[in-house]
Amino acid sequence: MGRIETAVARLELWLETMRGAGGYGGPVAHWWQQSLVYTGPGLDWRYEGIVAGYLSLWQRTGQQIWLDKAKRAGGDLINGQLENSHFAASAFELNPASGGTPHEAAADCALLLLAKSLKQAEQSGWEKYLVAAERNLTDYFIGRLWSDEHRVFRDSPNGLTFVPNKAATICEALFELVALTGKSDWLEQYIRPTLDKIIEHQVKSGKVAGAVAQNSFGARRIEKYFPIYNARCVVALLRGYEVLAEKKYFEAALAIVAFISRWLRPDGSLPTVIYENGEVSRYPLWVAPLGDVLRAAEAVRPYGFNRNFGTTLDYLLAGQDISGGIQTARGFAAQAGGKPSTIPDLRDILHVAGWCDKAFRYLASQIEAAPLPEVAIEPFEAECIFQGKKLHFLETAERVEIRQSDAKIVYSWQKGQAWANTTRPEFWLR
Amino acid sequence: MVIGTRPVYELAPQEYRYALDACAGLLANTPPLVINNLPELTGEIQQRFPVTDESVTGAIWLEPMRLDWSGQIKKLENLANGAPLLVIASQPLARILPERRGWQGQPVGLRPGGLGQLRRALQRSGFSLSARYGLHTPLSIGLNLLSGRLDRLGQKALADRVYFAARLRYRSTGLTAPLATVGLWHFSKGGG
Repeated sequence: MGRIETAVARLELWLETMRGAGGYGGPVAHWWQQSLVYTGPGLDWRYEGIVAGYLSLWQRTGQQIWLDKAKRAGGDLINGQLENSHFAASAFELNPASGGTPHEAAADCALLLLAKSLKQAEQSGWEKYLVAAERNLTDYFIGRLWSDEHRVFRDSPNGLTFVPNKAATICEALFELVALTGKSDWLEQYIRPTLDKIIEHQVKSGKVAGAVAQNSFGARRIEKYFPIYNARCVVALLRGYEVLAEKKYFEAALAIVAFISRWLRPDGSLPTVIYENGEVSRYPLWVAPLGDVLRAAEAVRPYGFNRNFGTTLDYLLAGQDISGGIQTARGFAAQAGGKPSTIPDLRDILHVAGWCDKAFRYLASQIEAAPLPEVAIEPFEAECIFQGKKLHFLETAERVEIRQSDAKIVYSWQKGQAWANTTRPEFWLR
Repeated sequence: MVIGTRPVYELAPQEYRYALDACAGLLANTPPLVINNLPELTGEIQQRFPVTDESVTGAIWLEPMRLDWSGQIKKLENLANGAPLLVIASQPLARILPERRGWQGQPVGLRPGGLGQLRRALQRSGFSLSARYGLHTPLSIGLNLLSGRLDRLGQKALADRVYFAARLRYRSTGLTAPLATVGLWHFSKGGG
């Protein structure tokens, strides 16, 4: 059995350990913020990769258990949907909060992929997933975030911020919804202007040609280019090419992947941010989030774009620990400048459901058509640093525990609990 | 209770949310007694804690007010020995926060020396101060301003690094804590 199958099997076992009442939980490390204290379920973009990954496993192996797990995850979203159509704790690094973007659109993608798969397999019960996603897309994204005047999905009802990668996720969800409901007028009403707006944010020439600017405030574009976010635009653009027969979307998608491939480092990693002048913020070097880059590279392959991302796959797989979880990054400690220390930052080695899902989704789509191998996972421990303090990290199937040098526990999260216990203010970091 | 119901577009200012999350970490998943004098933060509290009037295992006192703080101390009498009391209070610098300008009441912490008076009253009532934190420090504010300035000058990579440096200095302890916009005081009943 191949290394991808083994990696998926171990990652899946780890994901199981992250489940508690209401869904998949755990601390979050991210570029923008952390959420180390809130550890309850997050009905955010982690569900996109988890559901898509389980559906791939089901479709490739034919084993019912994977469909059952996809449906269980879909059930988390349905059970956690609020009266106002939001999903509870859908804001990932901003949790606890609802209305997270692109997170709720990504959750909608999960629900719609599940509905589509069940319908195609002529299985009953798919409609409830469609209904939940449609309610969120209609009430929140179209009802509150769509601006008729500017013909864009805003990032918030307050203000006129447009974020291409988030808009792309909304388009992915809308494509699925249109396919299931036949609401084809939404293609012209919402999807086409959104894809056009994404392309408006794409750099046409120079060092960063093909890159998509991170966001804009009204007419002011923020010229920062995040490879992992750029990758999240690719699938929606390709879908736009296929459904709307518009070649510019195809060209834009390929240009994004070409941009990303030009910035690949020899070891397969990517800088976190590239700026207009070619400067970079190298750290953190993402590991598990590279699943989205690999997914984008895979999506353009049928169109003849065959740049080899094998080293990126190696880099991602090398980040998997014996716990089955895949590390988040390398070099978080240098985010504010300087060089990473030889000992990893706590946020580097943290296994985060909302990053591991991206690896899970990609890897599950690549397995051979055979049952996954029997594997076991073990507790993972490592030395790490956090805000200048040397710590010992331990993750088992039941808990995450961090000790300081005198062995005193300074952070503990009993998996399934909504909050980690900590008396150390370092862990309050947002 | 469902955690995480408050929409991202209606969140309270970060320092208050930061303080409430810190309380959650300190309370070890036990439901606290909550005394809340800020209606604007009711949603933030409700999405984090199962609110009870009877808990003896820990308490959160949010924004003690000048007019009735001495009366509200009496509500804390039944806390068990060793139970944490977490006081979140706006401090004088909180006056710069645009969001809180419309908030009603006369917080004891906005007046210089007010929190010292409260601390002495709590100590007389059997609480001892374990730690004092300041959230959203002048240093982080200064670094954020510098980050914005660098960004406008086209130094975007450096601006981002300074921004994250500001994040790392968002919280302070000890002598500089009173200079932050919001204070978080960790007391223990009976000397803890």
